[in-house]
Amino acid sequence: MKRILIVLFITMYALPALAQNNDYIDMSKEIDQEIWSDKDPIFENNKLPAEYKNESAVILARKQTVETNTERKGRSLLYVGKMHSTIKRTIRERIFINDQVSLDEYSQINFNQLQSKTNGALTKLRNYTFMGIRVTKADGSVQKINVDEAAVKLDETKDGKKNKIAVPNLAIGDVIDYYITYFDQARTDKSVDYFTFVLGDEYPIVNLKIKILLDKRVAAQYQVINGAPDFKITPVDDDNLLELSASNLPKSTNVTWVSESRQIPIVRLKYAFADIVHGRGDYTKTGVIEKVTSPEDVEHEFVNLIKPYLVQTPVANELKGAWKTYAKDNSIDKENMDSIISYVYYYYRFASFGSLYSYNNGAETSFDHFYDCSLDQSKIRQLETILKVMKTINALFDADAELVLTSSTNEVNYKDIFSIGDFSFLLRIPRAASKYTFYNFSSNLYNLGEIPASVENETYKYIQQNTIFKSGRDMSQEKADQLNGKAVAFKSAATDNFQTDEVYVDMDSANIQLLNIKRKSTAGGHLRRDLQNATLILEDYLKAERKLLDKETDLEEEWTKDRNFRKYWSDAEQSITKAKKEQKEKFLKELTSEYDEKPKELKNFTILQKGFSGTGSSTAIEEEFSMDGWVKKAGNNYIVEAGKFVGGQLEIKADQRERKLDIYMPFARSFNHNVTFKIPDGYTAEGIDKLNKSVKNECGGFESTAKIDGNKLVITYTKYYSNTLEPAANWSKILAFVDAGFAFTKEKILLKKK
Amino acid sequence: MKKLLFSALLLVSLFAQGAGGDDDDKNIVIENKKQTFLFKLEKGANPVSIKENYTTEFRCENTRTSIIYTEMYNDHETIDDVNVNVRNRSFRGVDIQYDYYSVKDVFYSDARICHFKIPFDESGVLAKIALSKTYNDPRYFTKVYFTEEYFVQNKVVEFIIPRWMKCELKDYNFEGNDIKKTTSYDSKQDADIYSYIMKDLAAFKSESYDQGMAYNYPHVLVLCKEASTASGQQTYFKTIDDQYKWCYGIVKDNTDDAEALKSKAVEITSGVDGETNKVKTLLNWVHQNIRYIAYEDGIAAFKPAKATDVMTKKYGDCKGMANLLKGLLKGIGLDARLCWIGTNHIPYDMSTPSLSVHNHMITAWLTNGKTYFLDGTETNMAFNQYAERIAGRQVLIENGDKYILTNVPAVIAEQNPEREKRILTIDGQDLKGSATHMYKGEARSDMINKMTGIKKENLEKAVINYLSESNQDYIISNLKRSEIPGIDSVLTISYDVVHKNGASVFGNEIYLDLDFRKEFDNFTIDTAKRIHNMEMSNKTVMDQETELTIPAGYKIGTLPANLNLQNSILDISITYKQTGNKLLYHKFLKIKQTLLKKEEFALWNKQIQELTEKYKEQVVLTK
Repeated sequence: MKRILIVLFITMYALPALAQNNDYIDMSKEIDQEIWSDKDPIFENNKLPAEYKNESAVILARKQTVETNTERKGRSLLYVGKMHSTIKRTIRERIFINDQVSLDEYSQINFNQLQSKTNGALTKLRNYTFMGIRVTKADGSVQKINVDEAAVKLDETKDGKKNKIAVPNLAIGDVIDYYITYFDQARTDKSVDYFTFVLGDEYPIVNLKIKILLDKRVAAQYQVINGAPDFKITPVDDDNLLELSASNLPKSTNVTWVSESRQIPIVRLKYAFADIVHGRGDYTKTGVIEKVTSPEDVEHEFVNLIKPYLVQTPVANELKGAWKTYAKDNSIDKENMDSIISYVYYYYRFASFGSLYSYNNGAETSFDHFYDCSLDQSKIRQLETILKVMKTINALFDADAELVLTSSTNEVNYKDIFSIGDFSFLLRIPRAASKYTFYNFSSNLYNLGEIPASVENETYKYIQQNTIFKSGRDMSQEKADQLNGKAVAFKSAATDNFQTDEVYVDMDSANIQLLNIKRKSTAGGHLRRDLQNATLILEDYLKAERKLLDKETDLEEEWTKDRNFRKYWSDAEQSITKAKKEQKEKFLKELTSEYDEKPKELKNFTILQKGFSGTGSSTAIEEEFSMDGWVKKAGNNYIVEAGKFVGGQLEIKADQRERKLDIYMPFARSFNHNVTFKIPDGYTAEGIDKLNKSVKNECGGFESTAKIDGNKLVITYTKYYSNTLEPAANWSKILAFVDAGFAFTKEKILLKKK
Repeated sequence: MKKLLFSALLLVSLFAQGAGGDDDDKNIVIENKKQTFLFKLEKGANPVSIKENYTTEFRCENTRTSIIYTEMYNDHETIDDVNVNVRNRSFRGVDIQYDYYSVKDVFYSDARICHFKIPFDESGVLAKIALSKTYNDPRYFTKVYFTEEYFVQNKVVEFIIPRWMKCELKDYNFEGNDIKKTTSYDSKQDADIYSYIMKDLAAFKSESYDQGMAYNYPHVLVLCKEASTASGQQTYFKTIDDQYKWCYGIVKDNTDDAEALKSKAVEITSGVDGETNKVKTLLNWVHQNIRYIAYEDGIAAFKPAKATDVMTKKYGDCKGMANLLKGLLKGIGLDARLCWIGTNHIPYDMSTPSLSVHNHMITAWLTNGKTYFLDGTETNMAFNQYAERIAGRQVLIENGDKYILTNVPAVIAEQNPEREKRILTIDGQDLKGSATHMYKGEARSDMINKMTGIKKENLEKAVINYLSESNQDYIISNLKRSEIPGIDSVLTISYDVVHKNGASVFGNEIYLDLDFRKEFDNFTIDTAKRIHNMEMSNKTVMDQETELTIPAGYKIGTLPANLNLQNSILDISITYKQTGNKLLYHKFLKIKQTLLKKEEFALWNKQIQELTEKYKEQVVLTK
């Protein structure tokens, strides 16, 4: 029962508590009574709605409730401002079990029964969890499960028990009704916390309710996005009651090319047991509930957060000297701003990913580390780098670099940003004629000016360094106004993100059913990183980066020169050696995934171009291998599966062909294959005309051509996707060329004996 | 009781996490391990215990790493002391954790795990673990594996068996390993000392299609027979009779509400005529209504749950299901018994009395001198059909004070056929027609298991995907299948099919590949890499026929030659035959034995290569 496990993840408190806990038992009875006596009509339905009769399971009703309670404990001076807050959260669900899969899922439940007490200001603080289960049989009779009896104890500490429950007498056609309640007490502080409610699940939800009762000492802001219904807010005494309901929520299935954060209804609530302070100095007062519809507050909060950090960050003065030396050694004009911007980018990419000191926790020497050529860093580390670079490049080179706040397609839309964690960060440096160069420090595979596809064409705001220090005013407004408050990043085209294969196919002289193939593959734009990941190892990057910056390219010398790293060198060296040895496996895997089939033998592989420098540069590799099973014997003739020469092509399977959700693809892209097949002496090739096909529309296209040129068959194949985002209505258009592109791979030609 | 082999099995699964592939390149090796097992007299309920002490010395050969060291224990075993040394110094940073160990497919067991991390900061670092453990009942001390998680350079295992203890050690899978056994007598302890001295022992390595681990790794079975103790003579498992007495002793007093079982059995079988049909109905009811949830907890690993509990809770393990079946059969006046059985996962039989011999429980129905076996856990096996894991195995049938020892009937491939018949015509570039599949025995069971593992809303698509081998050019429509649950022992599936581009037309010729499935295509064994024998899950027959109507105006241009290969493992027969305007393609594959021994790999590979070559040939029709 994986779903519930996620909800159940709870931090265990370390301090020991009282062994005997009657209080828990009493409270457990009270909660059980309260929940099962809920007269909400959504819990009365036991019938499976006809439209869901083929579903594995259906959530007939889900109710999530949150209740806060704040008390001031005592009046002693010692406890001034110390209050206890209680948050009680309950999720109750009634689920119709409709097949063996959901029966298996719900018949075994893990439950962490937390019974922890910690020392509070005056009394103990309690952190408890409770669970209850009932089964409604198909005949309508209700069986209450004794959770204690049905459970086996896996582990027990003073803070609680880890239980595993086998739900008795549960069968297909029954309704399982369960609740879990979390009761958490804490000393209040002013910190802000969040609740997120996702209005969707792997099963359809017939009725859903969210009910939140916030006491008068709580301030809150909330948002409803992606079509989620709004709260109805009613005062209850001095407190606030927030309620919303939704019905017939479709299951959020396993669909390709979606952005869940932008497509499934979500409700988020930000709350504090104190006033929530906003960036410009205003507040959401306790007892007030505000609906948020713009990211403005978060932008201000963010600027306030980074201000002190930016003050403390030192300017890296040594960069100036490094640049001068580099410029002199390479005969570059040291005032040339383009050259400076390029140098600074790679200097910091090296610092983040390539240098010995880019590792936080001592030397990383594992094989896995060296086998993978890509390195990532967290958003926080990206932000730290960006702020450091901004301050340095502005101070040393007067570059006017600006911090860019944007959102990635994997997360909510910019307009829906609700917490700092929703932002993505870039740096931009103004160039001539409102052009900008972007710095992105998310991974070592980005070259100067390259940004992740996920932030392309996204709304962004930029912040000039100076405005960060101006308190109490909208730091972005001044310039943002000139651009109508929003700016839009560029969008790459299908031709920018390409992979082109030149393929030569020859029949083996000893075994005509075996094909010898030579392939050169070049990938550029966002597709370059895929090819780099698939074929290169970290050493390829480390060497390229050092060469680019005129640094010591001998890794051994660098490691052994450093007192702290010296002792790790032999480990690192072994991992590097092994990674190099296993690089052939990487190529083999890449080929296998490219052709959907494992080659019989990979004879040779070469990296022609690594592609670690230059905006929009490409990576190129070359391979020689053999393939078996593509040539079938038919009397004196041979059938050759020529469609396979262009590699495996995307196939949209039966379960993905109907679509209601808009299509979020990674980026616009194009794939090209130029194939030359040598026709063996004594044979003619027939059936060539079938290889000429074309399907094109506004979403993309596929086109193939074939002709005989002497003793060669020359095939060209190209497929492209014009856009990143397509409305669901265009799915049939995408299917049209994707299907045709896939069907091509099934085409055969005949080699006829003369 | 499904898996008594349990702790050993657990270890294998742990290796994957702990070793991180280190066993391959031998980054961590065990330089020395010295392990002793001493039988001791105790006071109290368990008069004999076994004390295990070992020291293991690890060395890091190449790269800096760390390992998770694990030791299993349970209700019958305790870990008494653990000492960890790194670089010849007591390792202060060690964080020894004792946890519940969760095993896949087992709801709850008494298995516990002691685990901790050992760092190896650089190559050459030595670590030493000294651990002592007590087994408090000789009945549960059944075997000792020699193989370790890492390559072992030197290891000595010693059993110190005082003469008051009668115990036999039986060696398994020593061949191919450098293991020497010596025996000596220690007059001081009045004990026989059996020493196994071994060198260069390969680490555990699991491979696909492996047999149970007791077939592949060197170990000794410890047969504790009897002991003379201060509190008198203790008899463990001297003979099969002793073992039966112990097992029967646990189950015989199981009190059940016979009336409740009777009324349920009568209710389930109401309207069903004949004893056999009633048994089929009861077996099917258990299969369809009782979920398998395994408990392996101390004595509970041998003691079945009450039949009425299983009936009302609707779940149970093999013992609980066996007990319920017995209760239901008795409820309608039939002679039903519990049976102890070892599946083909373990290599032992009843000639070595030990708790290691059984890992499963089923029910027997005795009628008119005949015995039928009912396995409650084989949800989709029909009455009187036997899964490979129990087929032909020795079985101990409950029979008052004296057991019955017999075998479950062996099965032949024909029990588990999978037949497919296609009738096709050519329409342009496509092949069109209909297909019927028939599954019986384990083929049926496998197919149904696959289907019930799929969410309802995806089922039809998944079945189509499976039958079309995910090929969207193989368009299946009008899918029909026989009802899944039910005592019907045949599953049939039929549909209409269009195989787009199934015919390649070039001028006046049509090229056809009449084999859509190509089982075992390229399924050769890499003899250079494979270490162990292979075992396929069951014997089976795959019988496929395709009848193609030759279009008017065409005749057969080329037919591939027939293929007929037979040996003790696999029969292959492929024939092409023309009758009037019909072309009949018939493929018949029969797996006659499930075990493929290493010495048979070459034979297998040769046969498969010929089949693979045959798959590359096509039929040509000409105008």
